[in-house]
Amino acid sequence: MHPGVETPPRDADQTRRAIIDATQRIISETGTTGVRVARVARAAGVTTGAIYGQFGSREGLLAAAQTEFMRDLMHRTSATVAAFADRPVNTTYHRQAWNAAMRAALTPEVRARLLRWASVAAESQHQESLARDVVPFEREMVENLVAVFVQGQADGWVRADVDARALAVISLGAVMGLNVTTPVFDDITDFDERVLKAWSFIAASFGGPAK
Amino acid sequence: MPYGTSLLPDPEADTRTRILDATLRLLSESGEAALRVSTVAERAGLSTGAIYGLFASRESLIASAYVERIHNWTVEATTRGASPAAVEDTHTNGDAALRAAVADLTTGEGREVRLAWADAAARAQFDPLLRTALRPTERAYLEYTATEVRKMQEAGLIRADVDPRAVAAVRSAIGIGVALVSRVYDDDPTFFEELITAWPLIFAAFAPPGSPE
Repeated sequence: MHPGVETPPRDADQTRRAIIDATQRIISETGTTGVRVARVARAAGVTTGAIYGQFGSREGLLAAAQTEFMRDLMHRTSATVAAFADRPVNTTYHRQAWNAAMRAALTPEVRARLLRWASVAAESQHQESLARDVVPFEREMVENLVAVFVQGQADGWVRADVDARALAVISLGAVMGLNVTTPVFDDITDFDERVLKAWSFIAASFGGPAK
Repeated sequence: MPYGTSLLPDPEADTRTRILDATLRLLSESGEAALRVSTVAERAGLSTGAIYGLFASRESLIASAYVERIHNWTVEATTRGASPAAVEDTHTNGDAALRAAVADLTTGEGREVRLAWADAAARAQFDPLLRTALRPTERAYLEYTATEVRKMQEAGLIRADVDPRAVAAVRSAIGIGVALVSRVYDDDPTFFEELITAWPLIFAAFAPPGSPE
């Protein structure tokens, strides 16, 4: 808060929002290790007491921020998936969607989000309360994709002789996992292009009627 | 040197291993948020000072433990002669191997290690030291897989027009991603069977053009 600047009084919801937003900014700049209650308080223009009052502890604050992140990720992906599902069926275009999705997943902004999801998932392995909060959002993301694939099986651009759930988990998993494995080869020119080519064979294997 | 090659006893490497072992055990028992350096010291039978002598901070201790875990796992897999992502051998080794590999990926140690890898990679974005420590392990793992892919290309089992490293990156990515995403169906045993049915498509995808399915 800058001295001399009048800030309108905030209600509890606004304060909570400001604290979560500040936490998200810090996480995206430095990772969760950079989250200190005093630093969040400064960034949000609140007292540390307000943070402890609202979230109990640094862990409570982190869990709330991670849950909020997963909720947002779910909304983003469901918006993309819904827009895709609303398109009139064009088998060629729809089969290409696997490749387009992978290309989008390798852009820096999406990469960062997918890696953060990975770390939330890893954390929640050993933190039951966090798992309870975030798994429903993960599940909804997967289920949204499954619904599109089931429709794709009916429309002929997803092969029909395997379960849509397995194809959805493998596809979403690949999108997430490639953000871990491709940076390892960042010294190789055009490595992402080579990966996209390799991925296109898997996409072709998943697309279309039973072969 | 994190992984000593000297034949002489190396007390520092020994202490380091003890600390990392204790850290890994505590991480898998009660998670990261609950990890205290004092508890690690107690478990390893050392002072907290001994730990801070080798690791700059609690965060660096946790990150090193993850790297150690991934490193041990990849070394074990490559020594055994199995492709690091054992799932890649399954189409030559049959149904039992496929089931064992997918089970490891969805419920076993394979899942835990892959989650640790993804987590370490996420942290490495903000931590150049961790990135430096992690990269050789990641690289060795993927290069090994790429070598296996290259052999299969030479044997005519994988199409020749893909970069073996790209295939290695894609297959390992699927392993990491499925380990992570399949959690949402942990409560549903039928999902495992669905995954078993779909898995061979991943190998079939890279079959040379015109080869029988």
